[in-house]
Amino acid sequence: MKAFKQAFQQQHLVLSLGLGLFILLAGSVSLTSAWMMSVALLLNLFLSTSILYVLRKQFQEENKWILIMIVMASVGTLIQMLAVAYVPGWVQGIDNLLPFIAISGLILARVETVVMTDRYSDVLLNTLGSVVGFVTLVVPIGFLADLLGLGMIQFANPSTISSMLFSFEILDVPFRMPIFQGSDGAIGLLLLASLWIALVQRLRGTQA
Amino acid sequence: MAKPLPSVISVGLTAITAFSVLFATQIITQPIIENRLNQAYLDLLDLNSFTGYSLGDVESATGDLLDAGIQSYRTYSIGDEIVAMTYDVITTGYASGLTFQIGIREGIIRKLVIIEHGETIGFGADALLDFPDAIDQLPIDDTNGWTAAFVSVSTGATFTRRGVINSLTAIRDDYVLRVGV
Repeated sequence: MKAFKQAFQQQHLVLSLGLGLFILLAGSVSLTSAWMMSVALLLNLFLSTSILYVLRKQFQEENKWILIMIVMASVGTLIQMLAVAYVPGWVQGIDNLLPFIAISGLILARVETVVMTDRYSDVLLNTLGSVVGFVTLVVPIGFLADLLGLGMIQFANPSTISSMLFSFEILDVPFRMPIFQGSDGAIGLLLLASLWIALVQRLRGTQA
Repeated sequence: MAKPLPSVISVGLTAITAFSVLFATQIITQPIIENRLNQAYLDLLDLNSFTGYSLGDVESATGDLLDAGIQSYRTYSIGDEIVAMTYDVITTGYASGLTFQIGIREGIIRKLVIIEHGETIGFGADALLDFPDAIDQLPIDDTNGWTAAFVSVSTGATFTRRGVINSLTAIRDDYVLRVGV
C-alpha cells in the first residue's frame, strides 16, 4: 500500500499543483466528461505501465523515452478509438482530448520511475493511486459544473449521443451561472479546482 | 539478465506492433462509427441499409433553399441516378428555431422528424406532434395533399404550419429539379 499512498497522497501532481487539469478544462466539463476522463486515465495507465513494465528490459539511454512515448501515445489513441466506437455518449465533446490523457498520465503517474519498480503489484498500486487522486479532483468539479452551470444533475447514456441515463433539474434558469459552462467555463472551473485543492491540502495538513 | 536488443530493433519492433494494433482497431471500429452516423439517415429514408446506394456528402444549402430555412441536404444515388434526398431545416414558426429533418425517397415523403422548437404548448407545439404522421408516405409533388394534411392537424397553429409549409415548398422544388418524380 506504500506505492498507492505515495501516488495518491505525497506525489500527486494534480492534487498538489493542478497539473494535468488542462485536459479537463479544455473540454466542456460535466460529470459525464469527468467520469470518462477518469476511466480513460485508468485504462491508459494500466495498459501503458503494464506494457512498459514488460519492455523495461529493453530500456537504454538512447531509446527509453522513445519507447515510453510510442507506448503511451498508442495506448491513448487506442482508447480514443474504442471509446468513440463503443461509448459515444460519454465521449461527446471530449473525444479529441482523450489522447492527451497519455501525456497527462505520463506526468501524473511518473511512469518512467514507476515502471522501473521491481514488483508489478507496486506498479498497479501506483496506477490506482494516481487515478484516485485525479478522480478526487475532477469528478466533484464536473458535478458542480453541471449543478451550478446547467442547474442539473445528469449523466449521459454511453451508447447513444445526446441522451441521458438520468437528469434532474435542480436550479431554475435565473439561478444558473454561465461561468461554469462552455467557453466562459474555465474561470469558474479554475476557481472550483483551486478551492478543492486548497481543501485537500488542508485536510492533509500539507501545503501546495 | 538477458542483454537488451539494439535500440533500433527494440524501437522498430515496438512501433510496428503499435501500428498493427491501431490498424486492426481501426478496421473493427470504423464500420461501427459509420453505421451510427448513417443510422439517422437510414431512419429518415425508411431503409434498412445503404447497400447498393452511393451516398453524397452533406452539402450546405444556398439561394432559395437557404432562404426557406434549409441548412443542408444530402443525395443518395443508385448508379448515376439520384433516387433519394434528405434535408436539414431550421425555419421559423411562431418562434424561431423550428428544426426538423425530412427524408424523401422515390418521390415519397418517408419521414419527417422534429428535432427541436420553441412553439407554444397547446398550439404549435401540439400540432408538431401530429405533423410527422400526417404527411407520412405522401408524394412530395402532391402539394395540395400535404398542405391539407397539415391543415387538418394544426387548428390554431397557423404560423407553425406556415413555417413548415414554406420550407417544404422549397424542398419540393429542389427535389423535383434534382430527382424528378
